[in-house]
Amino acid sequence: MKEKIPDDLLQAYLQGKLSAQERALLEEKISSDPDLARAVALHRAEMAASELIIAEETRQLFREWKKPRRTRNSLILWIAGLVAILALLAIAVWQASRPTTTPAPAANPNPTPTESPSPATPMAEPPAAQQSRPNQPVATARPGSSYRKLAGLFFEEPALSNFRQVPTDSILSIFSQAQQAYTAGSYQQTLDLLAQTDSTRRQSATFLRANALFHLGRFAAAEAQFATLVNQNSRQYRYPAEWGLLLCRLANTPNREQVFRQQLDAMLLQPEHPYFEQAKKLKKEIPQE
Amino acid sequence: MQKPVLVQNELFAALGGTDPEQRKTALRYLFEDASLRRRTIAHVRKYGGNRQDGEDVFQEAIIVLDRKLRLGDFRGEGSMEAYFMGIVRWQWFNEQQRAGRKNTSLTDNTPETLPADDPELDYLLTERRELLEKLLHQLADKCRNLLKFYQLGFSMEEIAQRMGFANSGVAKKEAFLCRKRFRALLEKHPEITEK
Repeated sequence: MKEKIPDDLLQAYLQGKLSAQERALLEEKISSDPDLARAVALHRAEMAASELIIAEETRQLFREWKKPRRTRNSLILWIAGLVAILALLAIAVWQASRPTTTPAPAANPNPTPTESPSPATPMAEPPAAQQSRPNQPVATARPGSSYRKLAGLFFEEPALSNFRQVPTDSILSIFSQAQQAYTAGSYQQTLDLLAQTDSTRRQSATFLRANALFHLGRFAAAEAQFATLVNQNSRQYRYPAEWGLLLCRLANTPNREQVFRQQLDAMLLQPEHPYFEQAKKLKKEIPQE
Repeated sequence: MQKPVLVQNELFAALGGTDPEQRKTALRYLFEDASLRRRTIAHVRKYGGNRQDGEDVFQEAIIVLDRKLRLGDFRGEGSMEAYFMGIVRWQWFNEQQRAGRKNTSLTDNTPETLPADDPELDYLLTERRELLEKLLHQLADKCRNLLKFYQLGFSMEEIAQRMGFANSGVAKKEAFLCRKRFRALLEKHPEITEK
């Protein structure tokens, strides 16, 4: 090397920080001095190596910053999954807490094994007000949720053994299947099967249908079915139908509150009524007007 | 830029300065720029790459931008975004050339301005990079840090402070010994310095 070039000058040259004149002068020396050219090449490689160190450090930073991004994305997915599971659980709990919990079934107060249409009685007021919004989903009637719960608690499962014994003909077998579906809690299937039964089992079918509708939270439709039985003065189903009618109105409170209270008060004036004691208990449970 | 956290001059100062925290902040600012990332990925996908290629190019383009800004190659005459996208185009073009992709179109994908006269950058993109990295792994962490700080323009006082040396004289001596060691390694591998 003919001339020792300071490192700082080489650094400035390699970083493009020299003036055009300084640069030209240095390049002339480099071209004529192989040792100097070699020193420049080494310096350049050293700079490149230093840049590699810096670049690797920067990549490491990127990797660190990516982790929280991935974690955040994973967390969002995890939370979304959890919310979905909770929603499913909530639906399951809601389904389970629907009015299916009942006191021990009371004996049918009127176990007459025959069905005969009878004149309508003023007891069964047609739920005209409700017919305008049939089959209203339970979940939409938020203000009445506590009444629905209460109605569920006082609801009596029908004593299926009191239904007319099932012969082996195909039509009545369908009714039997409907009873089995009801016992299994398949209320929609119960309704579907009942739609196929013949008219000879009208009152039994109506009663079972009313109970199935009650379980499905379709209180307006259930009320209409119970009212039909009351109006027919069914010997077998009149009193259970009256009780079911009352509970449907309770479940639809406040929409049906007035008629519910009227029916309850009327029932409490009849100590001989098979559901008198239950009506008294119910009276204690409901808020006073 | 989307986030009005750093104006361009602050960004340059942070990248070119000797405060590691400010430098990290500036790099993170670039790294989290959704617009630049999106445009980079769109460009790469348009020219035969996939999303991951785009992410890789985005990172490497930031590294090149950082270097260009530190060395004053970008003088703020145009927008930094346009400059960055120039690097992206050049980076992806170079990547495709290196990978030998025959479908690379020289007419529509060639960067408008190739970073001419940037031999160090050439090191970072060719097979010589691997050789250099092997040599660097033969150095101690202290030596690599010295090389890094020196390249980042730290003064000897700052290096002494950062690395716990007694004074700038010690830092200078350590830096000299480290560079001498590394140059000795380079001397053993002339293929690295010979083009």
